Amino acid sequence: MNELSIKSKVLEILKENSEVDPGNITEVSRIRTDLGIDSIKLVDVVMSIEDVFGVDVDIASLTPENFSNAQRITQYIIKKMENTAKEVG
Amino acid sequence: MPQTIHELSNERKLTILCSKGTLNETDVEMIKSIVSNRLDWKDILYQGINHRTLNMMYYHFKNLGLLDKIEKEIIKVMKNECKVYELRNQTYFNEIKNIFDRFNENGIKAAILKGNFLAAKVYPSIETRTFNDLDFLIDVKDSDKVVSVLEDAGYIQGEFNEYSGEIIPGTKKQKLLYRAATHELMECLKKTDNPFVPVIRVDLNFEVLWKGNCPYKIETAELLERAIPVDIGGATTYILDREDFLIQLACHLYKEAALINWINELRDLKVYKFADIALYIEKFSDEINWNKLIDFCRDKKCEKILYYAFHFVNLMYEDIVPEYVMKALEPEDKGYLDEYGVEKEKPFKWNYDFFTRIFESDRILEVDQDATKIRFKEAKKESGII
Repeated sequence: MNELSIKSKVLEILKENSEVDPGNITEVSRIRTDLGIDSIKLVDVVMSIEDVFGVDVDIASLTPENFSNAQRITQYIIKKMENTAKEVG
Repeated sequence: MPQTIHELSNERKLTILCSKGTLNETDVEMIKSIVSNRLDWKDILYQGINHRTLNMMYYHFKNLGLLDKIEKEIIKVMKNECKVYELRNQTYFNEIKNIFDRFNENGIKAAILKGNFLAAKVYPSIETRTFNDLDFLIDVKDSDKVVSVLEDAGYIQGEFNEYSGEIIPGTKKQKLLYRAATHELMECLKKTDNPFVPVIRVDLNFEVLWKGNCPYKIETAELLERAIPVDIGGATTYILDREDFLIQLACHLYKEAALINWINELRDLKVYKFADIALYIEKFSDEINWNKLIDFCRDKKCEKILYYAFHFVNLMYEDIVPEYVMKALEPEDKGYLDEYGVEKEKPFKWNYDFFTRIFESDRILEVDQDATKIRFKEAKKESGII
């Protein structure tokens, strides 16, 4: 899965969990302030990410550095997938 | 409406007096005089249990030679309570050693908060400060590592079913929810064979304030950086430095006293929380750098929180926090001392004075229903890590 398709799926997940018009959601829209995703919805976002990408989101990584917008979430997923591949390889 | 402890009933005056660590001559005379009167012991027992001060009361009665002045059955209840907490606290202290030995081996720096340290080093005897769990402050970045070390020590992150006596492991979703919506991780639990401590509970706090609509920010990493080593039960543990520890106690007290979530659960006003601050200040009066504390509060703009806690500590115990400190922290508008609600929202005013609030559990019936509604609406809207 390449970066573009990961980002596209992340945006889909965010659109499903946001009440904002999906047309206005971009990769830099801020999860909480722009998309109105509160802590409870954020947990749903994380659960969907785990399901869709098969990654395990650690509790400690639930930070703004990793989860403030689609771009950062994408980078986080890529890093996780790379780490998993290394462990398996 | 009572404005000082001298206007309280003998039973309630006794509850506050006996929660002190050190008694002066006037206190001793007052306690002896009160005990020589006819008293409503059911109120004393209820207040002592509710405010977690019963064991301190027994400790003082014993030291003052007052045990034979009190009905034997009452003394028996107090003595039993003390014995149980002596055993419970000792079990918890042993576990602190077990956990911190493992934390130290794994390079984890965690700080012991509140009652666990106070019971070990500040209160006069092991059973005089009761607590029901271990409270640690951790850096959220260490959370997976901390939980993993605890799991290796036999803990399960989950919920305890009081009826079945079983620990139900938390789901990933529950664990994420705790992280995202509260100031602590989901509790870590371990069953024991000790009938007085069927389960050991470890609370892993990653913030000293509250989550959601909290307008203040105190960085946990900054506090842990300054944390100081202390020996508890033969283990090297850490506590927050002298001023930070006091700030944490005050933040904890304010949060639970003034915010609707804790009022609704009747966890708001407990005498022991004020006594904690008074005993801590008495114990470390030569070491607390008040100017450092004032500067910190100004920097974080949280003077209001500290003033709240110190104001009521002084009201209950008189002259604990120096006057110049109170002046330095004093907010322009002190109306909030008699208010409650949700931060950033229009507050609600108590109809009762402080002493009536602290001793009357009926205060819950006075809580404005609108405050409860706002709590849920705002907590949902404002909470979040992002």
